[in-house]
Order: sequence, then C-alpha cells, then structure tokens
Amino acid sequence: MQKPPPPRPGDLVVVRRSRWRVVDVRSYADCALVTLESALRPSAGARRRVVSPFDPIEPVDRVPRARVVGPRIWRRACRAVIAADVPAGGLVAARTAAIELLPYQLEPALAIVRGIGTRLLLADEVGLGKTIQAALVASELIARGGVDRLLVLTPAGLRDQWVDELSRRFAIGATRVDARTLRHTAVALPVGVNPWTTVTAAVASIDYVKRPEVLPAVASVWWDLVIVDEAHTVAADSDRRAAAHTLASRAPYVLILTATPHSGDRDLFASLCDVGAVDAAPLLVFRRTRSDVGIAARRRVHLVRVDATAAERRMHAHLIRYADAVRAERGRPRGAETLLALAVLHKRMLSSAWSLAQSVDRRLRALAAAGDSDDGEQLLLPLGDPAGELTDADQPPAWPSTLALADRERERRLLTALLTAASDASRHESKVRRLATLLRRTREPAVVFTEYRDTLSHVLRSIARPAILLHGGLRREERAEALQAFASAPAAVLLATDAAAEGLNLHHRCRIVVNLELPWNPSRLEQRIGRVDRIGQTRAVHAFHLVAVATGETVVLDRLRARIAVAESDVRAADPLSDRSQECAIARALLSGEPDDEDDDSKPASGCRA
Amino acid sequence: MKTTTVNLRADAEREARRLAAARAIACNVRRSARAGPTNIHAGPHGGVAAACGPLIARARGARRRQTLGGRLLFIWQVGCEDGSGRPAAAAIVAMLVHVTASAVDAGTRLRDLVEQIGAEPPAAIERVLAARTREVVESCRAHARARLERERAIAAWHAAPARGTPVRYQAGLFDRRSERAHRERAADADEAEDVARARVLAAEAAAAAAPGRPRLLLVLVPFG
Repeated sequence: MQKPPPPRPGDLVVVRRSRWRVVDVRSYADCALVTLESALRPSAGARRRVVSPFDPIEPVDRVPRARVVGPRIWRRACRAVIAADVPAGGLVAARTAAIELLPYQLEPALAIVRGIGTRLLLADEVGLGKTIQAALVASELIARGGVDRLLVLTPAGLRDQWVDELSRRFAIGATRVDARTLRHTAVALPVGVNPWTTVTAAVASIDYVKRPEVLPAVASVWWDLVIVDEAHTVAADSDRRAAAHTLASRAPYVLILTATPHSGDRDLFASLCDVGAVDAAPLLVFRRTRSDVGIAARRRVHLVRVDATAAERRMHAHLIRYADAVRAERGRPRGAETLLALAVLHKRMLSSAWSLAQSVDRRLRALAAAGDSDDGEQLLLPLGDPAGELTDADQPPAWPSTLALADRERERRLLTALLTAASDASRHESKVRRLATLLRRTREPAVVFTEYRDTLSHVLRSIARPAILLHGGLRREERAEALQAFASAPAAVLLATDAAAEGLNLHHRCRIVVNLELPWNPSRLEQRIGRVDRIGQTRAVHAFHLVAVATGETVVLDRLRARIAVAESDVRAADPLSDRSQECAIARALLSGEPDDEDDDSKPASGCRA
Repeated sequence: MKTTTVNLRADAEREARRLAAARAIACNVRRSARAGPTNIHAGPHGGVAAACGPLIARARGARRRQTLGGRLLFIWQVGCEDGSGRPAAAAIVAMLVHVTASAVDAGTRLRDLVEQIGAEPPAAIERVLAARTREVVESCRAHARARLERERAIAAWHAAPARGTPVRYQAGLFDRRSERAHRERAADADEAEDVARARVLAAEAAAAAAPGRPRLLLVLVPFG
C-alpha cells in the first residue's frame, strides 16, 4: 500500500474526528511528527502533536480559492502576515520571548542563524544577560527545527534558575535532572532504556554529570545544543573539563558561557576555548563590556588596607616559622606539593585567624590520635549527597602528608604555639572589626564574601547585624530559604562563600560587596562583584576589598594585578581592583562616619588605610 | 586555540527595531483575533501558514486609493523547503502592480485574475519573487552549511582512532577484564561513528534547501 503524502503546514485536516489546522510537520524515516492546532471553537488555538501514520490524518479536500473579504478581515490578516514575517537572516523566536529587546543580546543568535559559527564563547562582563542570550539561541534553534535535545551544564545552585528562565521567558519546558529525577524516570521505563533519552531539554549540574557512573549515559544521548554555564570552572584540566568536552564534542552547537574567561593564565584560557573543539574551526567570541553596550559603569572599588594587630603579627610569625621548618626538612623533591599545602594554610590565615586555628587544631588532634602514623586525613566520600547538591569547595582540603615534620614532637610544639597565637588573634581580628564598623555605618544590605565556611561562622558571631549564611553545605531548599531570608530582612547581611554564591542575582536587593580576603584568582573577584553589579542595578555599586598589611596579602594583591593585566590585554577582561573614581574618599567617609559625598571628584584616587 | 570575533551590532539594532514593531503589531493581532479567525496564522519558521486562498479586499477611502494610485497591492510569501519538504524559512514580499482597469471589471473576474496570478505569476512579478526567494534560500543554506560542516567534523573526529587512555587492569591468567573493556570501547566507538554518520546525512538533507513555490496571500485593489 502506498504511503499517503504527509500533510503540509496550513492544510486543514481531520484527526480523531476533529478538525485541525497543520502547524508543523517533521518527517523521519518511517513516520512524521505533526503539530496541529484546533480549527474549531471553543478549543480554537489548542495544540496537539500526533505521529503519522499511527494517527490517521485525513485531509479536508478544499481547493484554496481566492476570496473577497471586507476591509476589517483583510486588515487583520495583513497584520498577522506582517507580524509573522521574518526576513532572511532574521530571528523567529525572539518576537514571542518574554525579554526586553536589547540589540547586543541578539547578536549571538544572529550569528548562529546566519551560519557564522556553531561554537560560541559568550564572555560578556558580569550581569549583561548571558543566560538570556544563550536561551535565545536555544529557542531560535528549536523554532527552526535545528535542536531537538538541549543540555545545560551549570553549577548545582543555578539549575532552578535556568529551568525558570527557559520556561518563563522562552516557553522551553526544561527538566532539572539529578539522581532523584533519573531514579523516578527509570522506574517507569523498560529495562535498558537510558532515562536521559526521555528528556529533551535537560539542566544538570556539571559536578553530577562528570561522575564516572553518570557520564556514559549522558554522552550516549547526542545532544544538539550543549550550553556550558560558568565555564571558567571547566578551564583547568579536570574531570569537569573532560565531561564538558566529551559532551560538547558531539554537539553541533556549543555555547560556552562565562564572564571571566581569562584569569591571567593563557594556558587555561586556551583550554577553555578548546572545549567542544573537534577541528580547526575557530571559536566565535562575544565579549562586550558595559561601555560597549551603552550601560554606564557605576562601580566603585575600595581597597581598604587594614593594619594587623600585634596578636595577628605574632600569628603570622609563628606560621612563617612552621612553614620554614617544613620547607627546610622537605626541601626540593616534594617542594611544589609542600608549597601548595603551605599556601592553603596562608589562605586560611588571611581569611581569618579563627579559620587557621580550626585547621591547626584539627591537625593537632589528628596527630594525637594517630600517634606516629604518617597518614594524612581520611578523605570523605560523597555518600550523603547523591543529588550532587553540596560542595565542599569552601572547606579546607585534608591536611596533606607532605605537610609534616619527621620530629613529631617538634611539629606539635610549633603547631601548638601557632594555635595559641591564632586563638589569641581570633578574639580581636582586625578585619572582622573593620567589617563590623563598615556594616554598622552602611546601614543597608550587603554581601560579604570569604573563601572558607569556618570564617563565615566566626564573622556571624562577631557582627552586630542580622546575617544569613550561604555556603556549600546547604541543600537546595536551605539555600532557597537563606536567599528568601536575605530578600525579606531589612538591612540584612549575606555571609557567603564563592562555592555557594556563584551565578546568583542579588542586584535587586543590594549594591555592596565586601571581600574579607582577596581570592588568588581575579576571575573569582569579578564573579563576586558581579552578583550585584548587573543589568537592572539602579545604584552605584561599591566593592570593598579588605587587605591586611604585614601579613603577605599585599603580595597577593600584586600578583592579582599582574594576572589582571594579562587578562586585560588578551580579552579586555574587567579589572575588579581598579580605582575608577574617588572611592577612597567614600571609603574613608564610610569608615570614619563622615558624610558620603559621591559627587566630589576633587580628591585623588588611591588605596586607603582605614 | 583559534578564536574569531564578528561585529553584528548594526544588524542587531536593525533586528531589534523590526522585532519591536512586530511585537506591537502582534499585540494588535491578538486583540483583534477575538473578532474571528482569518485562516492566516504564524508558521513555525517565520512566515505564515494560510489555510485558504488569497484574501482580496477593495480599498475604502480616498486616501488609501490615492496611495495605491491605480495599482494593486500584492502580498506574497516566498520561502524554501529542506530536503524532506519541510518549510525551512519564509519571507513576505509586498509589491504594487499596475493592472488595467478593464482587466478587472467584476467581482468574479477579479477572483479569477488573482487566482491566475497566484498560480502563474507574470514574468515581472516572477523575477522579483525569484530574487527574494534566492535571498531566503541563501540565508537558509548558510545556516544549514555551518551545521553540516560541524557535523562532518564531529563524524571525522569520531572516525579517528579511539581517544583517551585505555583502561588497564593487571593481567592475570583468567582475567579478561582488559579485553572486555577494550571490546566495549570499540563497540561504543563504532556506535558513535554510525550515529555521527547518520547525523551528517540528516544535516546534508537539511542543507539541500530548495526554493518553495511563492504563495499569494493578500490582494488590495483600488477600485470596487
């Protein structure tokens, strides 16, 4: 029997004893997926999808004759025709998307539609709407039939945000995929069916997808579009990068999203640009700054130099003494490993004396418990977190075995002295006191960033303001509660670690970001400020960097500046340390309680000591 | 690492203006849709899907007739189809055409004339439509070509010798884990190659965009 020809869009047909108009037909080898719209009232406009020939489609025989109509009907038809018109190289889906039409946000979608590229890096400055641009590309490709399967790889904390944006603005029904949803899906499927194949638009955490037991199932589905969000996290050679590359290298369209593509390390930038590369075709880069798109930059950066107390200087001296002892003993062969381990201790100290004290205390207890055993701390398996919601990136790593002295008694003595000094210093920490002063005088919501969870709890005890904690140890619901609390409490302070705050939009709530210590990666610094410095921020943003004098943090500052200079020259990266105006005067005013005169340009810009 | 940039700022601004105008008109269409259907609807890839023949109206009002200046306004839809006959892109072409008044003297003859022009456009109209159709087809092909090139590169990449470090197990007399792992990797690679090849064929079909038949949608005549 000869197969009847598939209907064409616009045809009137009868399906299941009802009259429909054919909207779209997608032909496959043995069948056609037909989208229908009801042609009868009262359900006119309702849509259904049927598979032909399994659902018989009978054409309504009607010769399309010209018809003379009244001017009202003609005008209406004319408007419909003009509204639906898409000129060659124009966008189909943007008209119906619930977005403000900002020309620069249309550029990536135009580039894809015009065949200029298939692998794009969207590296606009923070807060310029990369998610919207990526979702616009996705909806455009879906509308043109170029994408049947979409995969968004994002940090765990941003999955709900992605699902919401895709659904609310672009009517793309995306599914948040994690261990729980896959388990539920698998239950209803025949044995052997990969649950990932049942999801057409998946939003998944990169940390979940990279797992060796998960990745093969995800990779066996050939995704048409892979979006890697916060892609700076997949730049370094790691399981994350391997997973992102495996998935992207099979996808015809790849979008790499990050506001901080370059951290001053050219190798890492090259590695990022190679995600999904399978040939010599170049990566199409979109990097726009606020000034490029005509949005005035109103960011004020304040370098607040904080004098260390005598106790803090003593703690620093004890740490140096311990570090010298370890390096003298370990020497060259394991030099780099030892240096890295010592760097973590330094980072802990720069974060807070309390944080260092916690690390040293744990080491001393481990030494007491293990006797002379040379083993490091036992690493914990993520058994309590099957959904991959938690992260321990804001926890100190296990104390490495290289960070030890052969003479355990001497090590105990040095560490005990360090612990005593750190405990003393933690009672009156100069940075925490400065932070408390700053928060007391600003009297408006603020976000305080630090690298470690231990420091968060210490700061929480030390400031006299309602504060909410946001760290990697919170589950999805707890994070949502914390953000809700921050949004509703007046003049609340959000104490956050980088691991938890990535990708958050806090610009409607506040404009002040305080960095308790300088992260060693300039990307991280820019990401922190980007939480409040985004499109829609109506006021000047203030970023305060607290820099401890005489503790080595000024060295960190110099290194950061050097890395920022490299990134700036390569990709016009933003400078999160720049003194763009007379911010020092404002900082001084904030810290001293004098009136804040934002319009006074007469004072020179420089770092300030508070 | 090879990167490139492209400046689409002017195009994006033009596109944003067009979209803003289309949104305003669409809003009006939604409001007036309550008055009844017109059998003309937005298609899935731009353009419209019309469930009827051309709609003809007579211009009312002196100003509109004066604007038409004795000419007929034709609104056409041109477009292209992919290799499987699916509409891939469409665009609207409006044109004013001189038709002698004697050729159109009664309602029935007007319909016949319009149907005749819709079925076999005169050469002058055909030329204009062909030029616009070429633009649409070219734009559609450029988009499809980019994808095809990428699909071919993916297929070539998967056809290359297996990448990554082979899984190594300590060899033993009765231990065949290494062989099993190797067989699995080879099977996966074969499957990937097959899928990649099938996708190249699909992309080739999509890239073979062919011009579709122009469709006359609306006609406005200056007399009645």
